[in-house]
Amino acid sequence: MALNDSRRHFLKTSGLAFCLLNSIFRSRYALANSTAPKVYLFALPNGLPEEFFWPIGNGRNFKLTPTMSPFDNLKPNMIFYRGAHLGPNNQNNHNANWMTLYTGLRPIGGNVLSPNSYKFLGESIDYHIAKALQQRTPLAMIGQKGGQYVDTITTPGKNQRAITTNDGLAVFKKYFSNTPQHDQQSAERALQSRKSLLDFVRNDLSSIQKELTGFEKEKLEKNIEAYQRLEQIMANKVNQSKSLCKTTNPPGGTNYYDRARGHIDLISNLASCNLIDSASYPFAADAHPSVGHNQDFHAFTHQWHEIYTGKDTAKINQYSNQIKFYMEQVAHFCKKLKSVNVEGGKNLLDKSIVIVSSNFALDSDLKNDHSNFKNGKPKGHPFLIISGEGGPLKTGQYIQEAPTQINHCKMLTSILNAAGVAAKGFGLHPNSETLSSIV
Amino acid sequence: MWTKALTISSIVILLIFFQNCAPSFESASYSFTENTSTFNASPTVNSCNSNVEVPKRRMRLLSKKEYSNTVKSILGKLPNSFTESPLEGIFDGYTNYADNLIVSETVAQIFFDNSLLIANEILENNMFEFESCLAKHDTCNHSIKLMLETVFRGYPIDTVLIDKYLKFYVDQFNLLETKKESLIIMLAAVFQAPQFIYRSELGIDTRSDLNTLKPYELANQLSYLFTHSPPDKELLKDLKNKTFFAGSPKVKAHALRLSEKSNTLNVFIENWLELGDLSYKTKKFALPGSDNNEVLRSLAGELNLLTKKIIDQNLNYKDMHSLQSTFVNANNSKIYVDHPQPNETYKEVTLNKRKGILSMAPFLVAHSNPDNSNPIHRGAFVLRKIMCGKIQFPKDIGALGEEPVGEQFTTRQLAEASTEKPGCINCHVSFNGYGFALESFNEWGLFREKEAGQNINTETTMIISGKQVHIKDSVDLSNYISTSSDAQSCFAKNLLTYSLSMEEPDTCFSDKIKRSLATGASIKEVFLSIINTDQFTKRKK
Repeated sequence: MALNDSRRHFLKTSGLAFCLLNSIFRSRYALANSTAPKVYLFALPNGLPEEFFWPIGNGRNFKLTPTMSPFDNLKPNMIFYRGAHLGPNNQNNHNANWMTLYTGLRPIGGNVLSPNSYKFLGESIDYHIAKALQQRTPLAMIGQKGGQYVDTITTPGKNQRAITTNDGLAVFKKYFSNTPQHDQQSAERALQSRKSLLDFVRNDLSSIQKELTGFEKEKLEKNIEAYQRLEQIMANKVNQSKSLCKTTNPPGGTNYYDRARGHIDLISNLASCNLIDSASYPFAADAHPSVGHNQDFHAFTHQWHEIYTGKDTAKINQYSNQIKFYMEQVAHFCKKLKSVNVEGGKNLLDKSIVIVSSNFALDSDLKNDHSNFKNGKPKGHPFLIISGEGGPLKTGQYIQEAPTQINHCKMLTSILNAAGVAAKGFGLHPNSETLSSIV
Repeated sequence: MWTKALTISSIVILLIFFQNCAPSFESASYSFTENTSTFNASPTVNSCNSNVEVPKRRMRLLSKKEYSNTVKSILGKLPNSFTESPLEGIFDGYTNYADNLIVSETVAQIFFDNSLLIANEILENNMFEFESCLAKHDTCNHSIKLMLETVFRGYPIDTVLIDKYLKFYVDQFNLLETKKESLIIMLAAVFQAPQFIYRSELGIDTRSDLNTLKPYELANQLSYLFTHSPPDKELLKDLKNKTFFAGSPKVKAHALRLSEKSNTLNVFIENWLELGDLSYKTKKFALPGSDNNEVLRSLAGELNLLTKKIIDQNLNYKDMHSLQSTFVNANNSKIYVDHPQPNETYKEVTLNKRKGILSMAPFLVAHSNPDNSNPIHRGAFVLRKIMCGKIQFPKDIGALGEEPVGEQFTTRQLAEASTEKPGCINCHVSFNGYGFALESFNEWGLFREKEAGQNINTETTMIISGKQVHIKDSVDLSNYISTSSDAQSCFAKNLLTYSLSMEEPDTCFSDKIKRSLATGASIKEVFLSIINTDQFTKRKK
């Protein structure tokens, strides 16, 4: 057997071509389990006023508030769940509630005066799912650090905060420098090569399989099928890379709007390129000048009772705009996922679970209060879930339950199961079971 | 207050059992003194006359540890971004159970990604003389031969096989038009080949119902059992010289050598005791002056040294449950508070409040909650894996009622209150007591005499194998387990499940092993005794 020498001039370009080929197909953090939904968490700071958030109506007949109007075209994909609480003993503190919200556990240590001394106790639900499903994603969190115009990207690890840096761009480059590029000819050739590799492996397996019987034969059959499926995924990746799989670096600068939108685009692009399986995005707690906020947003939110009961329309609008801005970003994210077709006539949103919540359920009845309690009883925490129609979640409804009845661990358990991680419970409630109304 | 009640309730919910679900034990007869903590085991196991059951012919996927070790043994390290895990289907704590090791789509993706990383690494480091192959094509078959001999771990390499890969390389070159890329694809095929990712246990095909494993299959079986790694040079050399085959004296010689070379017992103990990755356990409270992560990491080192001691010092089953020393460094000495250590170096220390492997921190930490000792779980574990009793989970957990609340209660009191209802206690009575006996150790395995202002109560009376047994404390529990016929049988079964990668090892064979254990054979001896049996060297058609 001899190589065709006339082709040797191609050797000069081999390094470049291989990089390209690898970037499209090998994708270090590529889709691990393509059938399991991916989970994306969005978190709004300083609480979420009930008046802006909850729809009007009930069940399948509900209408979104003007603040939530960015989701108008996504109503069939949405679940508003009103009734789950963070526990009768949650800390009523920004950081502590964040931790409880997505870990289902109460943090230890810390107090209102030194909230940053709280310690995580366990994994957040997205990381738990990624770990359980052997999904590989380097991205636990990309977001904007409260109070400052700096990015924070967190990579997963024990207690979720293995690496935290304010230099988001550097982290991004470190983990995603190998993102897909566009070269149709190379991509097609690479696909052929990968297909032939998978065929070769399958043939090898088939020859061994012939020597087996019963369960052992089935085991090898499963192996062969797994490689067939891999081939399909690769073909899909090429198709995606042709049009939609474009990644961008997170933008710098101090324009909050551009940077937030840049982050959202980055996450959705990474998702559409199969470079991540999950991500969480906490929005910055800063005031938002581009929608009319120039004051301390945190202090502003403490005035909600006065603003609302005093019918201070200007400030109500300011506040609504800020929340709407956050929601616009999430809706934009969902719509981007929806625009990406994947196998089986589905789109990426069909294979995703997007959760939006906040650390408090702000109540205009309560003065100067960031609190999840009203009259000593826990309030229904704001939860919005967006996912595919006809998927594992019963979308297109506004569910209202008595708020004191349901710990949010039950909600998290439902999400776990919908994401393909069989679980009886999560966090403090290892046997909470699921919410039959949503899953 | 609420935390404790809540956590206890979660344990209870997890472990409420049906009525009439008493644990089942195999019948065993041993002399027994009622209401005492002393048990004199004198097993009377029938002799085994029937043909013993051997595992079926199979292709056994490498487990996570085996896969990583195999790659490491070839490259000298794991490549950057290498994903360590094929997804393991854990069976009863065992990560090597053959039927559960399956290549799903996820695992296929991992193998695929990793194979490209490995291939890159081979070319980057000019392994197997592939640089020559890139420069001069007619040297490629030599490189491929060298590589296959190593990567396929003794599998017979002939020209047909070499040509197969050579042809694939040429085909790739015709497509991709670059040698390096084409070689990478070819190498990636090798690292996804069944000869690499599986351990063949097909045997030599004969008319007999039993196929004797081929020499290279046996070499792999032996090496992975003792070292979790592929056959080393010495073993491959004997394989090449055809002096290693089933029944040859070389088998035992290599087994002995390999058992001394690495910590054979560590993975088995980890699997048997379901310790998981100790560094990933979560504890709510930090031990004074310590970092939780550091303490947890140090427990893996402690376990490693404990299991090494069991092998190196030829300890037997009873010795294992009678250990009164462990290995302590600056980190885990926060648990063994009477033995402060200045640095990370482990030192063996004698303990006076603990006896046996179940009273050491790795077990106690692994089997507790983040914020309490979880006696129900500990007890259920002892019943399930130490005594091989069966537990049936309830279908309905709806009728729990109010949970006890209050910091004034001990963990045991909360557990007792939570399981006292007739629908619960009928089953909990068969295992809660094991956990209560271990109550002198909190969730960190820290010894305690008091909790919630009360003295710790470790006494318990249980019905075990139809007899009333009084257990005073953890030491008493270890005494009981170390001599119990049921516990010895259970250990024998676990040992075989692990070493043969099969769910239900032959009971007759298991009884033989149990008899060896009962007569005081060392665990190492027992391990070694398995390798010359039909179960180890043959496969059923």
